[in-house]
Amino acid sequence: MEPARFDNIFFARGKRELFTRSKGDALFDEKIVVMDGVSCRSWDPKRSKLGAAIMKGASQIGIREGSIVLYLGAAHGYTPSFVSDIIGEAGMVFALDFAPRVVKDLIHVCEQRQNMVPLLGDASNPRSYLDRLCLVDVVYQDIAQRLQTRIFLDNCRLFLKPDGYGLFAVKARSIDVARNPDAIFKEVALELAKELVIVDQRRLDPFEKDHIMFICKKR
Amino acid sequence: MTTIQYQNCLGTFIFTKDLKLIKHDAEGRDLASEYGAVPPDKTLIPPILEFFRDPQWLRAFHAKGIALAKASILADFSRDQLIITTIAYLDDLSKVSNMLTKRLRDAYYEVFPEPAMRIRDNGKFVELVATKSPAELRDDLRLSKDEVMEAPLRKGDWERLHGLAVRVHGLYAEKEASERYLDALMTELCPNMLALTGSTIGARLLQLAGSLKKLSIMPATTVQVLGAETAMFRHMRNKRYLPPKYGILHEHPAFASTPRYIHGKIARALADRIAIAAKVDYFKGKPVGEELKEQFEKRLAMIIRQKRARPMPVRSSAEAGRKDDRDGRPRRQHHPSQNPPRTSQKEKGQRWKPSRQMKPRRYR
Ligand SMILES: C[S@@+](CC[C@H](N)C(=O)[O-])C[C@H]1O[C@@H](n2cnc3c(N)ncnc32)[C@H](O)[C@@H]1O
Repeated sequence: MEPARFDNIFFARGKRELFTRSKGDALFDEKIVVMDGVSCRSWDPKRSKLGAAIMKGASQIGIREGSIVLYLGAAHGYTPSFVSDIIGEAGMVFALDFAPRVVKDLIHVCEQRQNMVPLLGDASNPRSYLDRLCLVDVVYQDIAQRLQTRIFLDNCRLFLKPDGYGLFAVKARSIDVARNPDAIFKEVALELAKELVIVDQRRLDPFEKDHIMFICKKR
Repeated sequence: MTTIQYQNCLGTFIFTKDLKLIKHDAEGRDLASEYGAVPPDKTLIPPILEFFRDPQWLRAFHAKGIALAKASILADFSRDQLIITTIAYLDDLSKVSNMLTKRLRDAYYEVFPEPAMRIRDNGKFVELVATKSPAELRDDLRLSKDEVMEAPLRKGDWERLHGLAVRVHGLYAEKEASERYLDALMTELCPNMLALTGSTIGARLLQLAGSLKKLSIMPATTVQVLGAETAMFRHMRNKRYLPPKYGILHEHPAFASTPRYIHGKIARALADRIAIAAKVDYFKGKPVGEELKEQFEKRLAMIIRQKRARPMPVRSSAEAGRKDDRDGRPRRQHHPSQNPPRTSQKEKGQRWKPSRQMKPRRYR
């Protein structure tokens, strides 16, 4: 087990496996390893785009101990639960999804984590959940929607602190099923650069096909 | 001095101009007049949101967020979800009861094959072996003890065999009850769609759309191809594949007795009316189902009549005698050697290359 460059994240087996330091129990039947009294939760990069970006060598993720994170497209809460590990007790992750079905699971996860808040809402209408959160250090978005870039920028404008980080997972096929992913990613990057500074970008294959993670900073 | 009133899920907050908190009311009462407070202007939103980063409020967001999310999930519940769970349950019931009926037949075949051999109908077979003793079964089949190949089983052996039979019989009863329940739900919630499509197709459309609300806002062209997503995506990726003309609608009886080349028209006519019916069902408008059904039947008759007036479309030799996809659409392109590229592509001056999908297909 060797610490990664980021808070509470560890690599194991020669950087082939990913773990987070975890107070809680397994929430998704994942493996828990106890090393020197520290319990670590195994994080599958095939199930998590943030995990994949770290495995692909992302130079920064912006999420650290104590961060407040707005997570858009939280689904069942798999990745958000690891964000919850990274930020620790002092941080908070506001986990939003618009599908009532998955939010049921999300609530269940949040009830076991003091630093997670479930939000049932539509990311394309940020004003609708303005009354349920505060300014954040990181906006993370993974919603696989055609207008996702605009949605991401809207949320960053409203909720992201100056100097805060925006992490944006893009699935080429959700923007256009037919076009070449590279062309789509280039277009997205141009649009992002109008309002944010892209500090890193990582293709997520082989963990996710035709996906990219943009890591941006607010000016 | 003017003050600012800000309200969020944690209640009402009265701030001074430089955002010192004067008053917090967790009940969320409107205190504007009491404090002479005004709503914050746009530039104040970021600093106010910054104010709520304090650990005290973060903890409150956690508790409140859970309560609010639970409440909105309850508020979101709508009875049409029951239709979707019921149709999914019915699918599983069919699968499981078919599987176990086969198992029951096999089990009988080993030790007392006559009922399994002589009673072809599954429902009847299951009912008989579940409700009758071996002796009664023999009588029913008018066979004597020496005529049957009944293995010398012990009491415990029969008990287990009979146990399986009773279970499977129960599944048939459960299936019937669920079908009646589905009919009742459709009558209650989607009477107009029901008139046009019947319970099963109507329920399937809801299942594919996700909810009555979603179905009600779908354009007819989307309703028309619900259930043909694979073909639709294939078409979107590569325009050499024709778009599908119908999906689940194809199970409607109107398709069974008509020639395939008018199915696209029929699907269109049906989908148009279903889209209207779904809207009326969702908004609980005054019933139009019977009227739509009549309209559809008239239109169907007209499509069939028109077909007589027109010659059969000529099929290319490549298409003839070939099995089509599940959705019934022939592929526009087949194999480079058999089908030249479309002229429009030549006109665009592009070099035409066979795509990966165009390698010769093996036919089942
Ligand atoms: C690909 S999943 C995210 C998986 C998750 N990030 C993880 O790694 O565990 C996308 C989720 O975004 C949600 N979603 C899509 N559009 C949304 C929107 N406009 N607002 C909120 N959530 C949305 C979907 O309900 C779905 O659960």
